[in-house]
Amino acid sequence: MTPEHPSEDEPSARAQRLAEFFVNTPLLRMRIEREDEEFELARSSLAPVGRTSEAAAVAEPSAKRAVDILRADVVGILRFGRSEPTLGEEVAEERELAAIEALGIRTSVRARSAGRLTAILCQDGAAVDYGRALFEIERG
Amino acid sequence: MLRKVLVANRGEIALRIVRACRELGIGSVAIFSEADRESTHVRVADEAFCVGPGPVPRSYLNVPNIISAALVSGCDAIHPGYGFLAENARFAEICADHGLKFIGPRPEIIMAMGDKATAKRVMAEAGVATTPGTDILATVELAREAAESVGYPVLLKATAGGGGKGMRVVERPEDLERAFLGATAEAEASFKDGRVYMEKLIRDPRHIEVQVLADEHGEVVHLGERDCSIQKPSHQKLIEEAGAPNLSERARARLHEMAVLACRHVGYSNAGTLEFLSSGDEVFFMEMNTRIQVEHPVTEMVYGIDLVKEQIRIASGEPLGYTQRDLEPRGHAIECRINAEDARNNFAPQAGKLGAVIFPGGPGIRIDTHIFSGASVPPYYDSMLAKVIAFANTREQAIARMERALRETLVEGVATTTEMCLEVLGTEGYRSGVYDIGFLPRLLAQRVG
Repeated sequence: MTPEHPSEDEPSARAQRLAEFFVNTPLLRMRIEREDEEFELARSSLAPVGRTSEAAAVAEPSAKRAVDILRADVVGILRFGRSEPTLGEEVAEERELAAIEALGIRTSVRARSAGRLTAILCQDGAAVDYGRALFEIERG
Repeated sequence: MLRKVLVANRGEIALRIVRACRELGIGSVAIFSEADRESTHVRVADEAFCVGPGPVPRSYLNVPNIISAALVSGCDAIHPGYGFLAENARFAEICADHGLKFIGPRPEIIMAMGDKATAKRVMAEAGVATTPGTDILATVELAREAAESVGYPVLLKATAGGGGKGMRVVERPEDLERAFLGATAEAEASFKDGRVYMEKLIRDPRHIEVQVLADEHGEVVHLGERDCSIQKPSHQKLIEEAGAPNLSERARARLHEMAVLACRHVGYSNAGTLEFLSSGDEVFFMEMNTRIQVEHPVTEMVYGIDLVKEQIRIASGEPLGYTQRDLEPRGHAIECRINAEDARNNFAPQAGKLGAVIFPGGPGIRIDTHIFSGASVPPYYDSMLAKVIAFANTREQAIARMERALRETLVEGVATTTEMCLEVLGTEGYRSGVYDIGFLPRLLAQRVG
């Protein structure tokens, strides 16, 4: 069963769910067309497929690339910073990709290591809950 | 009316609240821990937010994440259910600070009733009978004087107490000094607070509680009493019923009257329960629970009132719209708690993955549960899986209905209390309605013996 998420009927929520599904597929590009909407998801290279947790990614020495999934650790509204993250961007360690605003407090979401931003799994202004996958970084 | 309610709980009560919201036509937002991702309340609510990992302090007690979830989802109220944050006055204040209506009484009432000594004093002021007793006793001499005045047997209790630590029963004057020193030392060792006070020991009491509803305009009604004397040795309730059997009309009327009096005195609002110890015709106030109770369905069945909906209506500022004269109980209701516990091993809690789950149905049976076949029972939470509620015209019929319902119940994968409940229902003591809080511990002791 797939977990329920806020605003299930919102296009942004459907995009988020598709994105989470997408990162676990061996696909570089995916396009879905329905009656009145279409989604296109793409990434610049392929990350190891399977469990998306950071622990799993780190724990697979045989994998060619190590991937970090950055997740929300507080509940709040996600805000991209002034330098909005872009797909394929090379990010430096500690680069602030976004922040989560909650109860007037801003919690930074930072790259844990330098690498390439291979998936953006969230939208600016979206409500995010604990554990929500936000960014995928292929460590350089 | 409120527009959207965040349900700050899990399990069957979260589902119960979501159902009430839906029937009232208002939105519901569930919260869940990572361990409860597949839970029914998450699936059924309009929206759901994960607020943390499995352990309670990081999820269901994670106040910042819970408040933030309410705000980002546009809720205007929070229903705390029971347990977790339900009787946390500070949480109620934080809700108010963020413009969220806490569905319960005002924070100062929660705080006053949360402190046993304050609650007892306030109730005594209101004219409610409380257990005869004393304040803190500084010396053995003062304790001796107090015991003479209260009358033996007495109970010495640690003011910071809990779980029976720092507690001593004193039957005779010659045992007092030793008991006093023992209680003080044990309380000091357990709580770093050696202060003790004294209460009259009520022998073989029954646990009888009265349900109240009060709106925010001063109207207070009671919805009769529940007998919750079938308790595990840990004093957790296992079987409850409404009304209480073998209670004199005089004692019953006095209980109801005191409950309403107490609520008027403190300016109570929303749903609440006053718990009493009863012995013969005497009743003594024990404590007040400023929230919905686990066993609320038995009251709902005999009064035909949805208490959770009433909580939401009251919090919306609506008047009750009825008075005591409009309320008349009908029939009898019994609730059995189906817990994931091994009754043969000191009710040790069980966790794991459930196999097949089949609940009973048919006339007069209500099931409040969040579990289903294949569901996980996480190790972090209360072990209650379901409440089976039987309603019938008479107590005898309700017992028969409950027995057949429990025999239809199947919960595979973990040990449950189903058989234990059936065993209790089959005893002469339970069937006669003459039982007290020592009933189940005695039954268990006999079995071991």
